Amino acid sequence: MPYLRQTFADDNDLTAPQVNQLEENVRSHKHDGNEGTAIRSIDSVLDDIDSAGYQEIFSITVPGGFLGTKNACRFQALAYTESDTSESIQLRVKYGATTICTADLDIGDRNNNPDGYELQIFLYSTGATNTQAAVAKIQGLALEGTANAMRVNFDHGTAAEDSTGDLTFSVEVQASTPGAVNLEINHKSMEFLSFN
Amino acid sequence: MPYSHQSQTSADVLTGAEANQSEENIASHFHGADGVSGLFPDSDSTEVDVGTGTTSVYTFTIPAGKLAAGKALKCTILGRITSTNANRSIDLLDVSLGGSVVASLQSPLDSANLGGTSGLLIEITVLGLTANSQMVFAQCSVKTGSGTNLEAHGMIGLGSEDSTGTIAFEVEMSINNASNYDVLKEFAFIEYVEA
Repeated sequence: MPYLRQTFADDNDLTAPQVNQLEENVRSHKHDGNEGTAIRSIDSVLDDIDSAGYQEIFSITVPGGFLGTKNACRFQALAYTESDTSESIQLRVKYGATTICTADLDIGDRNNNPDGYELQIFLYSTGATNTQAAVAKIQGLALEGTANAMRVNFDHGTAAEDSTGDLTFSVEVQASTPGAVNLEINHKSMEFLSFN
Repeated sequence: MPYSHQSQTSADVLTGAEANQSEENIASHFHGADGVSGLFPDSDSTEVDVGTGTTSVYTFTIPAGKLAAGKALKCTILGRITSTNANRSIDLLDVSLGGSVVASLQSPLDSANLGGTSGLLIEITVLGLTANSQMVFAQCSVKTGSGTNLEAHGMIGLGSEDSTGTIAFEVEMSINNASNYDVLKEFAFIEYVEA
């Protein structure tokens, strides 16, 4: 049957039958906005990590049923620092009620030189709707002895959340010496990776 | 207006008007598996415990045309490494196209005791150079010990498969001593890199 163009006004509250549609055997096409891509959220708000304790830099609802048994989420962010004192970047990842993993990178004293860092987090189903795992990575330059070197830290963790319901995924960051570090987090993105 | 279920028969040849549709301001939704394949054609959440012998970690059949000139795909492998003993290494990381090893990385991890569990992240990109030649880039970056040192290894290889047909893609690994530590693949997925 012909596939008719559908138009809704902005901010329409759709009913469940309107939202949960199947399109079968339709040639690849593009959605308006971001709906046709994997990127669900881009947040370019600059977060200054300038106070003690963890600060939430990103939060999003992972819809119930999304992770299932074979889907994943990929979070990426860029960090910047020109610390003039010994410093470490500490990362904490939460999914639902679980702190699923942490990672920290001791970057040393950057001696006021601007340096960039990459934060990358994968959250994925490990084959059941109530088992998940995450890998978190921080990578960038750090002082090793008297020389700069590329360094990385990985962490791995697991959760046993019921992914059939909506759950919050959040990322928190703290600096070991807040205020002196000029640690900034920018351009955060979250992709929902849905596989056939 | 209500958004009605649309269904067409497999192998239907759509008219231009039928194929080029716009959906405006619709909340995110999933497409039928037989319809729009999108950029993420495959994932595998079956855990694989890498052994001392060559162990197949992930396989995928690359569809015809997906490695034509200028197209690429990326394979990401996620998992964990557990070690409480200093004597450990990942001995081998092999990437095969069409049943032939085209890129091989020896001892991508050989270092001090992790003192616990670390994440594992392997990223492999296969680039279509021409219809029958491919370039493979792979990176295995891991934490090497209880500190935060990076040990990153990269490798490159060339394939010569006919991309107008399907191509078998496989990643294999081995470790040197299974009694001292575990390397486990938990999740792997493919994404297409194309316009």
